[in-house]
Parts: sequence; structure tokens; C-alpha cells
Amino acid sequence: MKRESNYNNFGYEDFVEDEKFRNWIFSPDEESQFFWETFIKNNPNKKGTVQIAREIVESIHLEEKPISREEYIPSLTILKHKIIKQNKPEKNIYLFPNWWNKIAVILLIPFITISIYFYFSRQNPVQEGQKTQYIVPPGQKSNVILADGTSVWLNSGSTLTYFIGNKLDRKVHLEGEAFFDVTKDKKRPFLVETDKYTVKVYGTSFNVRAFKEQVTSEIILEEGAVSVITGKNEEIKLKPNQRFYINEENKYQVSHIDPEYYTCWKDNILRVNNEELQHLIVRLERWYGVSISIPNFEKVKNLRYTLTIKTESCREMLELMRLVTPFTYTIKGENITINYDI
Amino acid sequence: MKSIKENILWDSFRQGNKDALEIIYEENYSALYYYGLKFIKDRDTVKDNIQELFLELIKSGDRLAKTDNIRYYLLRALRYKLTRKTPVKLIGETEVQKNIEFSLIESVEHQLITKEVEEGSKKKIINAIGKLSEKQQEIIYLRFYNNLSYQQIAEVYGTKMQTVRNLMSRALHSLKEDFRNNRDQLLLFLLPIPQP
Repeated sequence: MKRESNYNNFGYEDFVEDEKFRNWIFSPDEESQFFWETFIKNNPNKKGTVQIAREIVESIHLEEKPISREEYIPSLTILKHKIIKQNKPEKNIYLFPNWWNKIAVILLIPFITISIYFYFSRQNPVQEGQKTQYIVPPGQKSNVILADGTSVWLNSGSTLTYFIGNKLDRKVHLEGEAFFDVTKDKKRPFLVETDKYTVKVYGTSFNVRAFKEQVTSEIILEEGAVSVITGKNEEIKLKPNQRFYINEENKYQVSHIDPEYYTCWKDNILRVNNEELQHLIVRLERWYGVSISIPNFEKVKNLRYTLTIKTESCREMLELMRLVTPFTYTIKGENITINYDI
Repeated sequence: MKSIKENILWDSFRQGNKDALEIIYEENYSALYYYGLKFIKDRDTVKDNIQELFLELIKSGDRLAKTDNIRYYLLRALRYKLTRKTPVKLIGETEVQKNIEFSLIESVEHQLITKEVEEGSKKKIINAIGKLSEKQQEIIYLRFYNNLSYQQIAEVYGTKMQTVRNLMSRALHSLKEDFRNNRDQLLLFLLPIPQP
């Protein structure tokens, strides 16, 4: 319970914010009436402030009667009925509910064809140490299973290079972002090389992000144990739920994180948590395989966004962003121009 | 204490518990309904959307995020659902889009009619609220009618808490200025306070 004295130094904003004050105006009763009348009597200098606050609260006061049980029970019954129906297997009619998904399918088909072509064309005799590259263009993701059974999810705009033929070695080079689910083999460590460091593992799952155009890089460990060998030949051991982050000056730090946030991209979810527009744009370009230009970029590059993209099309994502920061946009093929109202 | 209970309730909802669904439905239906009405004027559309929202939530099951504030979670989900439903035209050079916007005006108007307020004051109030941005109106509503914290409102918009505070502060200031200028007429309406 707030005592009267607390209200002495309240401004009109504080009164509006005060629940007790609002309740008095929303639903006055004898007690609150008495309380506030006494307060004004004892603090005549607050009369004006209270009056202003009261006018504001009055003006936004809405009497919204709770919906009666009779009114919502039918809809609840229907809902329950629908749940039962939903649990029965049914044909999914809305396979392609919007236009962009169809585009995705059309784009995917040539991609698959190309992959198959490369696959078959590689059937010629394998030379010792022959280099193989998987290149995932922006806007797409890929899943590769290596000879030793290790699964690699490659994010948009990433390149994975590995050497086949050398049976003793398990070594890949990564440029971009990938999630590894490494098959256990105590005798042969699995090595992921990036420009800044090498990750050494024996069987585990983890995420590496090391894009060329980004000066920072990171590793997220989901389970198992890995060690990171930096350019200075330092070896850092990571535990599950840890994040290894190395900045532009090659200084690194290890912190505790929720790995799901960093690895959900492989399940087709893009999470953005309080990220600046300048970084977000790069991720979106890669995610959707588009090119985004912003005329007054300098003014807006530090705007921060938090959003989660699952199946949203590029257009839906832009609509989401517009809700937070008003802008207009035009889409011409793969080129998007965003004009901020700021 | 409340948050612990909400946690458990939400968890059993996620696991498909029917009783949990019923409790959550009952406790939040009104809030969702009135919030939805601020975006979409058609009552049936709002009701359909609430039902659809629950259906989607149940479908997601334990893939749903955990929460200790169910009201906040649901309001946010409904908002997302309603505003996302904006009809979007296919690729075109330029396009005029009508966004689904939050508005307190209709509800306030309705309120004033039932209260039999004098015509002049009515206009002043509507005018004062109309001067607030869509976002400011919504912040007021979420803060004062659903008791969301500034932090939560900020999360609804994906913005900083301070931004929301500033918007609120400016909204209240704007209302204050408007009422100060129209003090004489308004007083007739605002005083005396109706007795219960």
C-alpha cells in the first residue's frame, strides 16, 4: 500500500502511471474517493496536477466489459472440435499458400539438377587429395553428408571445401556458416579450418560462423567437446552451451549462451536479437538471396531490430520491419530498395 | 508467485492439456477480443482470429516458447497474426498498401456516446486522441489496460524500452497540452466523478 506522502512529489505522468490513481478514476469507490479527496485537501498545490492527470485518464478510459461465459463457450467448443479434427491425419491442401514459396520451389529445381550433374560428373577416378567444394548460393541452404557420416548443414552463401581420398584425415575448410554433427571417431579427430582458427573435435555437434566479409567469427558448441586452435597456436577448450567469439583484432572471448538461438537457422529459422540494421541487412541478403540498398543508409544503419523469421517470405519480412520502423520499399527482381521515412 | 503458476499452466497447455486450454481461454478471451477490435472493427473477424490463433498455438505444442506471462504472450501473438494478415499485392513497381492499424478512436467514441457527453467535449477528446500516433495509442492501451511493462511493450515492437517510455511521455504531454487549452469545456464533462 502506498502511503499518501509518496504522492507529494508526483508529476502528472506519475499519477497517470499509478495504478491506484487510475483505479480511482476507472472504478471509484468510497475508500478511494476519500483517499484522494483527503490527499488534495492536504496538498492543495497538487490540485492542478491531479486534475490534469485525471483528465488524461478520463479521456483514455474505456469500460470494456468482460466477455461473458455464454459468449465465448461456443467458440471454445468449436475450437476443441477443430483440435480433434486436426489430430487426424488430413491432406495438406495449403502446400503452397503463397507465391514466394512457389518461387522457392522453382529455384530449388535447377539447384538440385545442378547438384546431381556435379555428382555424376565426379564419378571419374578420384585422385589422392582431390579437392571438392560445396558452394551454397545466397538464399539457399544445403545439407551434406561426408564420407565418414558427418552431417553438415551449410547456411546461405557458404563454401565447404574438403579433400577426398585421404582416408586418415578428416579435415574440411569452411568459409561462411555451417552446423556440424560429427560422427564419433576417437582415433581420427575432425578438423574444421577457417581463416582465423581451426576447430578440433572427436564427435559432437557445433556451429561455426566465419564469413569472409565479416571480420568477426564465432563457434557455438551444442554438445560434446571441441578445442579451438587459434592462429597463435593457442588451444582453447569449449564446453557445451558455450560460445567462442573472435573479433577483428583476433581477441577472443568465451561466454555461456543458449545454442538454439545460434543454430536454429538449420531448421529454417532466422533469429535476430537486437541487431543493428547494418549487420541485419547482410544476413537478410544472404538468407533470401537478394540485394538490398538503402539510400540514406548512414542515418539508419544503427537502428536495432529483434525478429524471428520462419517461413515468412521476403515481402512479409519487410512488412514486419515496417511495423517497427516506417519505410517504403520496392522490389525489382532480386534488388530491393528501402526508403526510410526518417 | 503469479509467474510460477503461469509457467506451469503454460507448460501444460503446451503439452496439450485441455483444462489448461480452458483456463487460458477463459482468462484471456476478453483481453484478446478487445485488443483485436482495436485493429479490426469486425467483431466476427476478431473472434475467428482468436480461435485460429489458439488452434495454431496448440498445433505448435511444445515447440512454443516458454513464458511466465501468458497474457503478454497471447496479445503479442494475436497482434502479429492480425497485422501480418495485411493483404499484400504481388510484385509491382509501387504499391499503395493499407496497413492494419491500431486505433483507440472507435472505442473511445463508443464510450462517449454511452456516457452522453456534450458534443463539444466529445470532439475535443476525439481530437486529442487522434493527434496521438498509432503506436502511442497502442502503448497507452497495452500499458494501462493490460498492465504490460515497458520492457514487454518494447519487445512487442522489437525496440528499446527507452523508446517506448519516450513515446508514452510525449503522448501524455500531448494530451495534457490539449486539455489545458480546452479546460473550460472539458471540466463540464469530467466533473464530478460519478459515484459507484
